Amino acid sequence: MRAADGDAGGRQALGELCERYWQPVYRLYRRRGVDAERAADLTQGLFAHLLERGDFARADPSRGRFRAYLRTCAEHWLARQHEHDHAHKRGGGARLLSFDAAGEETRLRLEPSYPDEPAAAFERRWAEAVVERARWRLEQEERTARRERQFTALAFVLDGQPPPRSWADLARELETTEGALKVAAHRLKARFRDALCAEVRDTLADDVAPGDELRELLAAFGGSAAAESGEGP
Amino acid sequence: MTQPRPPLDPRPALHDALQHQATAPGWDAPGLAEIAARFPELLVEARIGQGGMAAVYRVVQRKLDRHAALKVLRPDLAREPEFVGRFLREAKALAQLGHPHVLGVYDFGERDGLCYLLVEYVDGANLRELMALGRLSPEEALRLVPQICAGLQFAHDRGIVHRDIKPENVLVDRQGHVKLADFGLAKLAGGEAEHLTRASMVFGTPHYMAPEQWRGSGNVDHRADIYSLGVVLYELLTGRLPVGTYEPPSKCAAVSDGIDRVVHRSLEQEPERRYQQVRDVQREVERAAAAGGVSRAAPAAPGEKVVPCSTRRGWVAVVAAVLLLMTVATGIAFFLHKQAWIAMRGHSVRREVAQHEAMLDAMRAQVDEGQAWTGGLPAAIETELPVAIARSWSVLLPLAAGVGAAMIALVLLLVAGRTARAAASRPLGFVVGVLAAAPLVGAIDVWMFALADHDPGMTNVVAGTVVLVTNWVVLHWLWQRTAGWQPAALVRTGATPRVVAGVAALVLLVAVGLAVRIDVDSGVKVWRGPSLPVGGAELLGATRATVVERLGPPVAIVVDGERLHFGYRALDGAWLADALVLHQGRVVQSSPHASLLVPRARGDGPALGDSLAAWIADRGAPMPRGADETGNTVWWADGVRIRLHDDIVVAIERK
Repeated sequence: MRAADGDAGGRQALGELCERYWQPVYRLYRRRGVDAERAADLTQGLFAHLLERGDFARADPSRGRFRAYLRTCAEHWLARQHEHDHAHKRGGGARLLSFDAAGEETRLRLEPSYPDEPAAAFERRWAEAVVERARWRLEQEERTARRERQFTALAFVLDGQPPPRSWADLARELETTEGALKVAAHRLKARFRDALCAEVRDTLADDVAPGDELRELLAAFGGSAAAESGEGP
Repeated sequence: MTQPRPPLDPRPALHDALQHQATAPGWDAPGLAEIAARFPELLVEARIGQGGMAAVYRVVQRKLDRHAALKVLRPDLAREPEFVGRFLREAKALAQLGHPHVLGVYDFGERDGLCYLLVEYVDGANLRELMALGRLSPEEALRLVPQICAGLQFAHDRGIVHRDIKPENVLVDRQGHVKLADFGLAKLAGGEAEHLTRASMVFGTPHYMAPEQWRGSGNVDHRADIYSLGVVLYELLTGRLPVGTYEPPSKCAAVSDGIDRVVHRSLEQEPERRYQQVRDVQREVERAAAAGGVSRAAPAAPGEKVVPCSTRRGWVAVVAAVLLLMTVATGIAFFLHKQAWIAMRGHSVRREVAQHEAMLDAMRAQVDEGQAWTGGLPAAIETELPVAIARSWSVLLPLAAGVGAAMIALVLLLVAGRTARAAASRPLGFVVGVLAAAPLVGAIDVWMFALADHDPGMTNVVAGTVVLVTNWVVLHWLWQRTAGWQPAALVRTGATPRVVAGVAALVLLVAVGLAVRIDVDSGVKVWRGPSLPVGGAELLGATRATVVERLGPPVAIVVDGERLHFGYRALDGAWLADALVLHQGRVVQSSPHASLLVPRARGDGPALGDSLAAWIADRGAPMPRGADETGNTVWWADGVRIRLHDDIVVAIERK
C-alpha cells in the first residue's frame, strides 16, 4: 500500500484514497445523526487533518487495512469534534476535496433504512465505493477503446445478472456473433474482476491478502442478503 | 469524483472476485520473476492460467512487440530422461500445424529443465468460460463446432491426435473464431495412458475421454478425439454431460434430430462404430445446422425434403428394415384381420342362422306329419363365415388380440432397450425394436380396415388415411426411441425419422391393405347350394310338363299361395334344394341354391308335380275325394292320401 510509505509520494496517494473513499465517512456521520452540512464539514475536516498529520504509517494500521484505519479515524474525529465543537474552525473553510454531497444525500434517501449500526453502513458504503470505482475505471478504458456501446449492452454481466434479452438477440443488435459477444462479456467480466482486486489491493498493506478483505466487505452485508437485494433505485 | 452510475448491489462483483482468489491446485508454478529471469527476451505480464500439467503466462515478445502466451510444462515431467527428447520431437511437429483454427506455435524448447511452448495469444475466452455466461444458442454452437472440426481434421491429416479435447481447450477470439489449443500436449506430458488418466482425473476431465483412453488399451487414435468432440457438442447444446442413458439433444435444445444421430454416433463405445473422420462429423453438423431447428422447421421446409444418403449400404439397411417390418406386420395383420372379421360378422350371422334353423324345424315337423308346407321360404344364407366359427368365436377374442399385441410390443421394446444398452448388441436391440412395431401397427391397421368393411359410413379412403397417419406416428415414435440403437449403416444414411417413418408407413399401408383384401376374397363362402343341372334361365316360362320332362319329378313341392316351389336335388338329406317357382303352370322364377324345400319323395302313387288327371287316366279308377283345411283337394286311393293343389300333386302320404 503506497499510502503507507509516509513520504511525499505516500501523502499524495493518501490524498487520492481519501478522494475515493469520502462517501463511507460521510455516510457514517449521517448515520450517526449529524446533519448534512455538518457531515460534509466534518468529512472535509477529517481529511484535512489526516493529510496534515501524515501519520498514516505510524498510526495503528488496523492490520494493514486502510478501510479499518479510516473508520477508526473518522469515529475519533467525530468524538473530538463533539468535545470541542469547533469543526468549522478546523476544517470548515478548507475545501480540500470537491465532492458531491447533494448526490450522496439523494442516494441516502433512496436507500432502504437499515436498522443496524452506523459502522456497518460505513462498511457497506465502502464496498459500494470499491465496486463503483472499479467499474468506473473499466468504463473509462472501454470508452478509450471506443467500445461504449458494447459496454453499455454488456453491463449486466458486471452486476451478475442474466442478459435482458437472449445472447443471440443482443449479438444481432450489436452486429456481431453470439460467440464473439460472449467472449467480449467474459473479457469484460475478467477485467472487472482484476480492476476490483487492484482497487482493493490499493487499500491494503502488502501482507494482507485481498481475499480476506473481499470476505470482510461481503460480511458487511450480513446474512440477510435476500432482504437487501432490492437495494438501489 | 462523480458517480457515473446509480448505486447497485456490489455483492455479485465482490463474490465473483473472491471466487477467483482461490489459486489453482496441483503444483507450484514458477513466479513471474522466475520466468522473467529465464526468458529475458520476453516481457512477462501476468500468469493467466494454471492447469494440471502446465502454467500459462501472458508475455510480450520484445523483438516483435507482439503478445504471446508462454506455456511452461510442469518441471517434474521433465525428470524422465527421454522426456525432453520426445517433447522436442513432438513440439516440432506441432509447430508445423498452421491452420486458422489451430493455435499457432511460435517457439518451443527447453531451458534449465523447463520445457516450454511459446504460442499465439488469444484475447478471448474458452468454451467453458462462454458456457458459464449461459448456454450457447444452438445456432451459435452449430457455428462453432464445424470450426473445431476443421482444426481437428487438419491435425489428424498430419498424424497428430489431440487426445484432450474439452471446452477448456477450445478458445474463441473476439471475432468469434475458434482456435484449438493444447494439441497433443496430453501425449507429450503423458507418454503413457496411465499417466494421462491420472492427471486428467485430478482435474475432473475424464468425461471427455473416449472409453479406449480410459481402458488404457494403447490403441488410442484420432477416433478418441471424435468421441471427445461428441461430448463437447452435447454439452454445448444441452449444458450437460452425456452420462449414462442421456437424453437426445433435440429433447433439450432446438436442434434437429440429425444432431441426435451425430451425438449418438460420435459417442459410440467402439471406435469402429464412430465416425471415422472428423470431416464426417463436420458435414453432418453443417447439414443439421442448414436444416434448422426442429422448432422452426415446417414439414415442408426445404431442408426436410432432402433425404441424404451417403452410402448404398445404408439404403440397403433401410430397405431391409422396412421389409422386415412389413413382413411381420402383414402376417400379424392377416391373422388378426380374420379374427376381427369373424367378430364383426359373427353376431349377425348367428342371428340369421338361428332364424333359419327355427324355420327349418317348423317345416320339418309339418312335413313329417305329411302336411305340405304352406309358409314362406327362408332366405338363403350366404356368408363368408363357417357357421360353426360364427357360432363359437367371441367378439372378445380380437379385442384380446389387440390388447395382447400392444403388450407384446411394450415388452419387446423393454427387451430391446435392455439389449441395446449393452453396447455390443445395439443392432439386435434395433431389430427387436422394429419387431415391436409390428403387432402394434398390425393390430391398429386391421381394426381400421375391419371397421371400414363393417361400417358403410367409413370408406376405404378414410380408413386408409387414418391407418397411414397412425402408422406414421407409431413408427416415428419408435424410430426416435431407437435412435441410439440403430446400426451404423442406417445412421450413415442421414435419413430423418420423419421421412423414414413416412416411407415405412406408406409401404405398410399398401401391404396390410393387400393382405386384408386377399383375406376377404379367400373367405370361406358356405351354404352355397349347387346349381340346377340346366340353367334356371332356360326353364323360365316352361310348362310344368316340360320341367318334369327335363328334370324328372321334383323331390319336394312347397305351396306358397298361388305359387308352387318345385324342389330338386336335396343336399345330403338336409333341407335344401334348388327351386323353380311355378305360377299358373309356368316357371316364373329360378332360384339356384337358394330355396329350402322338403325332401319327401314317396313311392306308390302319383309322382310329385304330376297332374292327377294323367295319373287317373293311367290307373283308370276314380277315387274318393275330399278337401283339407287349406282348401287343397285330397284324394284317397290304395291307402295313399294325395294332396292336390291346382290339380298338381303336392304331397303323397301312405296311410
